Amino acid sequence: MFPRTVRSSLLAGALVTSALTLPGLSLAQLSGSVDWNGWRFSYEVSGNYDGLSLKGVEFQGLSFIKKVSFPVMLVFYDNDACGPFSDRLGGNLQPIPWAGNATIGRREFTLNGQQWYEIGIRDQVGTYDMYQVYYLSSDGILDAHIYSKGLVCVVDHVHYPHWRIDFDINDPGNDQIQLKTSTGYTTELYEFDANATEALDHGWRVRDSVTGNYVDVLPGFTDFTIPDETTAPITSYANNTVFGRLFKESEDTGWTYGARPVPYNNGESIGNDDIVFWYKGYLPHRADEGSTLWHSTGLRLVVSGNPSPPPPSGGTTQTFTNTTAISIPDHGSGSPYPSSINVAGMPGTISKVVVTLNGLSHTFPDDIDILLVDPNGQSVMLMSDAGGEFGVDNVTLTFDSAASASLPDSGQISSGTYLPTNYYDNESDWFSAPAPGEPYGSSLSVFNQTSPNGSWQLFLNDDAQADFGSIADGWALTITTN
Amino acid sequence: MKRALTITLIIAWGFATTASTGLPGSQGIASAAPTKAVAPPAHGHNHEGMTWPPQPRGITNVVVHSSVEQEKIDRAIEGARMDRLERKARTHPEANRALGNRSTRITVIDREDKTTGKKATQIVFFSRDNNATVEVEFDNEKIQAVRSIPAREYQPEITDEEIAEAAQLARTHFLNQGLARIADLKAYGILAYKPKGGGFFDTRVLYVSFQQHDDALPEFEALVDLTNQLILKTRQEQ
Repeated sequence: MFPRTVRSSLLAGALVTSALTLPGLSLAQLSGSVDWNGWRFSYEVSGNYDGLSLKGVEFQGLSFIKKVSFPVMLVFYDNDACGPFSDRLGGNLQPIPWAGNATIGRREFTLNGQQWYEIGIRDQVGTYDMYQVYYLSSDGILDAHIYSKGLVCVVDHVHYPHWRIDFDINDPGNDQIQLKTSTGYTTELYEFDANATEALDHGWRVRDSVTGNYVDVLPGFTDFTIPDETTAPITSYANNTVFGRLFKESEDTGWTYGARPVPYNNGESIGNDDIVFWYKGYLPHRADEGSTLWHSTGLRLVVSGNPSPPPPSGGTTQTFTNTTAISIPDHGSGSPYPSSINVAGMPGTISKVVVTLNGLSHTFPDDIDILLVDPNGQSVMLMSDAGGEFGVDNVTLTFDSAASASLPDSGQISSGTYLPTNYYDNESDWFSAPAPGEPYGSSLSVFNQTSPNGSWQLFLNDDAQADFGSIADGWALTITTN
Repeated sequence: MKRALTITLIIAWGFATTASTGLPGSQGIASAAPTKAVAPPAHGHNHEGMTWPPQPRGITNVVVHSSVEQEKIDRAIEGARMDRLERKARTHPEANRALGNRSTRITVIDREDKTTGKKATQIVFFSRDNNATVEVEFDNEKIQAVRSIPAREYQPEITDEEIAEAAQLARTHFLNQGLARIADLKAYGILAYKPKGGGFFDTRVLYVSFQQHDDALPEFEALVDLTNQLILKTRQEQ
């Protein structure tokens, strides 16, 4: 899509041009990350039209949300006099004055002694002008809110904002949705659609059954100082709806359902699994209120329970292995090619990568070229043309950019920790597809500051005839993240 | 076909004149069924000193972290990528057939499988020739699949170009009706859905409204079928 200012040149006539002076910026795919007062997350406005999303949300070291998004605001008019409409945000972002006319507003502020971080987008759909925002407090509150003004036609109507929250407390599995009762909290065992006030005091909770960490889902803020008159009163939360769903990759596609209700209720078990929590708000708008009244509603997440202590300064370290042997032919690609390790669920970005080859044997190690490729396609040559003619038998080689030595060029290789080593670069050191082409990195630090999650691949090539070998016990990847 | 569609819409789409007759709401919708708009008791709204979008009153120690410069860079990079993907799609025989001669590029969607980390990219079009949403899937910018989804099953969001085109059709229609005032009004567009059941139309249909400025009330509205270049319904606010 063209920005509106460009688009105007495509059309003739002042009548249309008058409609094209909006400063909308329709190109999406904006993203970034935030590390503030114990909070860490990335944010994006993607091409999915699901508003401003927060991803990989952590508070004080406790990861609890994989992704929170705003897939749709449905609008229904009395007697179907207009609409219905299905407003999806992200395609027509508007400048935010207090943010220097950026389209993603980000700021911190203090209010009543509490520190807050605000991140929001303004979008215009038809004449609806909306501000979708998250407010995060330094003591563990995440408020998700929507403001709306404008009238598409002069008829009473109701907006139904929808938030989708993929809770992954500690990790994707073992999560439970609970509702408060007079005797405690009860776990929902199957996918459900429920009135928000089925839970006593609107007391919904998502909890990890292993760690006991939990997040409370409560009515939108009532103690914030956005003027009360713009905010849906607490009594109207009786009209809100909660949906519990089992996570499925195929269901994270943005809103593709028009002006219809939240789908995916197949009655599947969600008693202790990877769950998704949907929340549908209720925002009535009477025509006689005009087009300038600001309407607002939202929900509040409170991180509590047993948050893990912040990680040590070195961050989180995990080791992933693939123990399948890699055979090395007398000439050509190893098998399997590549050998892969899938990394999932690691928070943060990489600060260190260490690779270990377990049980390398070869009759002429100088023939071996080994390339590591990360999920983003970045690569490092771990070893190439090292060790000369000195055969190795069942050695374990660890590659670490903090090591003090390289592998020998022409000498016996023994088990130990080495720098990635590449001799005689560019001399017949190539890898067949699907390996990437050159250039290849020389330090494992090339992976730093990127996400570790995804498929890591080890490509092995024997670049000369006659000798062969194997990596009998596969390989391991040790990743440290911030 | 066009006549039948128009008649259906006139019956189903209750404008102000029908609203007062008490037509039932969308009873077929379960949890999304419209509830009558019962707002809180009338209240004043003191926006004095506040700007849109709203800001909490009394905040201090404000530090803005937004970066308009970074957004410009992101948009430039993303725009170039979208153009590149579009060129590849339009020169791909299967995708080209699916797009036909009248198509609009809508968006690019990047996905990452939560479990495997596998990434994929889709560029999404709407083909008016074929009345279909066309998704072209890429792996590392190489086309892997082309999917056509009938418009009645799914339509992506509308573009600025589509809004402008629908607005022009509607404006011409109103001018031909002698409603000269339309010339001074600003147009807004929104994707339209079937009034009963909330599903997608069989064709590309936009709801266009006209008003003086962003905070004014709408004065004229029209339901515009871009596929068939038809005005399906109009409404003038009293």
